[in-house]
Amino acid sequence: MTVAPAQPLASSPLAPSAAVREGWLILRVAGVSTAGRVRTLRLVSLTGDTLPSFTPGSHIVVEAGGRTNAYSLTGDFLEPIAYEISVLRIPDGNGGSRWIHDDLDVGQELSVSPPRSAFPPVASAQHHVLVAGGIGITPILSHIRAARLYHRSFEVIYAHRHDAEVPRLRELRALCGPDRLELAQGRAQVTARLRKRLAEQPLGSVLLICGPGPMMEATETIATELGWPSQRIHTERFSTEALDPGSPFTVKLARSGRQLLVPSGVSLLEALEAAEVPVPNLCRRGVCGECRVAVKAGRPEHRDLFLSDEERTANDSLMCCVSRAHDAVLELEL
Amino acid sequence: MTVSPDHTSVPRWPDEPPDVDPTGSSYLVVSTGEAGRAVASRWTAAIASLAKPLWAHHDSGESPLALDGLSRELAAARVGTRVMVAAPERDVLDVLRLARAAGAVDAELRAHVTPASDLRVYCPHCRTDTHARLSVGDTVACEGCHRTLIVYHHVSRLHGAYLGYMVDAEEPTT
Repeated sequence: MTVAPAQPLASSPLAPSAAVREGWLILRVAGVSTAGRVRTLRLVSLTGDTLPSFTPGSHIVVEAGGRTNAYSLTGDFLEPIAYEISVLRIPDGNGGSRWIHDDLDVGQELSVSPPRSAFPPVASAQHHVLVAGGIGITPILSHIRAARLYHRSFEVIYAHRHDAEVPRLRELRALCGPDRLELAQGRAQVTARLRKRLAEQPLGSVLLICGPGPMMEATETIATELGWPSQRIHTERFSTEALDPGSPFTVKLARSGRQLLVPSGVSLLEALEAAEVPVPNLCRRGVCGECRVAVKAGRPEHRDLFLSDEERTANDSLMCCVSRAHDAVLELEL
Repeated sequence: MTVSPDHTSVPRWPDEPPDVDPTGSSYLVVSTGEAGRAVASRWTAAIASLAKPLWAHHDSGESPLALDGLSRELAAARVGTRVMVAAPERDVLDVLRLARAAGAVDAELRAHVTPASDLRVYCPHCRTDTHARLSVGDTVACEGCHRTLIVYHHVSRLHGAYLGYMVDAEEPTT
């Protein structure tokens, strides 16, 4: 019996260690444009075929210079000819956005996950209030496209800082027209606009928020004060804030009976990897949900942005890339 | 019928009236009958002490609940509104049906069912509703097509009615 040689990887700009993951796509960079600190990429298939359709609000995970980062898809969502992402340069981040800004060029190939939906529209809603802050406009762009295509009622409140360029503004104005887009600059103006608009939405409206953590929390607080139940509030978090190193704890593996120490400053995922206990993972910062592990005993200290409140209080699973333990010993179903 | 009530869509109402949700920004309160009035007046007192806007409607319960006022209020309602109803089941289902059709979600609805009322039974053969003092498992002649309907343990939240279906379809007609 002869065994066919493994297919060599398409000439990849990625580090040799970056093997193609199962089900992932290899896409070619067909266009880049940079405006201020934001670089927008157009990614196309190598064959010229259309790409998988996605639910508005979806993101892809991109291998960027050996890192994996999640970016919202901003373009057409039905049989798109290209995926479009906008990447904010984070000077002190993990390096993925710097690599996309400094080292990536037209013609190069990128390994990306299929689209994943964690921030969908609400089909039954009578009105969508879309609130974006800064680069958080990216998933909102595909929501606006969907609302236009399906003739859904919507409005956009876009918060931005005094000193920064407003990402994708021209396109946003063209998509929204004159009556559906409100820009708000600086915290006081944003708060005033939100207080006014969230007090006068028809019953049956939903609120979708994407932006920096403090801006999202402020928006949720205002909505709650105005009587919005949490069922009407949907959020897409992206986090660049560093987590504190945490306290050391011991992890017990139920299947093998092994015990590992997770020191301060080392994540549970890293400790498991060092002990050669593989756990599927992607974003490594508590966003994507890939590295969820079942907890058998002990109380997890949840630090992820993925689990719902109910899942958190159930204490029967945790995201091992960021979460740790309240108790000295945590027992996992591994 | 031997189906566990846990596995049906027949509503299971709590015994005690729910409290007013203080996180609302305004309230619509509907009641029918004397038992409903007693519960609703406790609610309206609690809402008054919150100093929040209130619209309230009460019917004697002798004739069908008048819903046009509530419909107008719901059409103009903003997010933040809470809807509360204390009445026999048929009126409760009606109010919840209207509120949901206007876009309300479960967190915005509070209901208390007072004893004894007609059931509304929906006939899927002729699409007529029949109202009568009935329980699940009883039979009734449809007011529209005169078929004999059995009241089934299925309640439509959108229609506010129990499903009835022709129970003797396979009996030879005499």
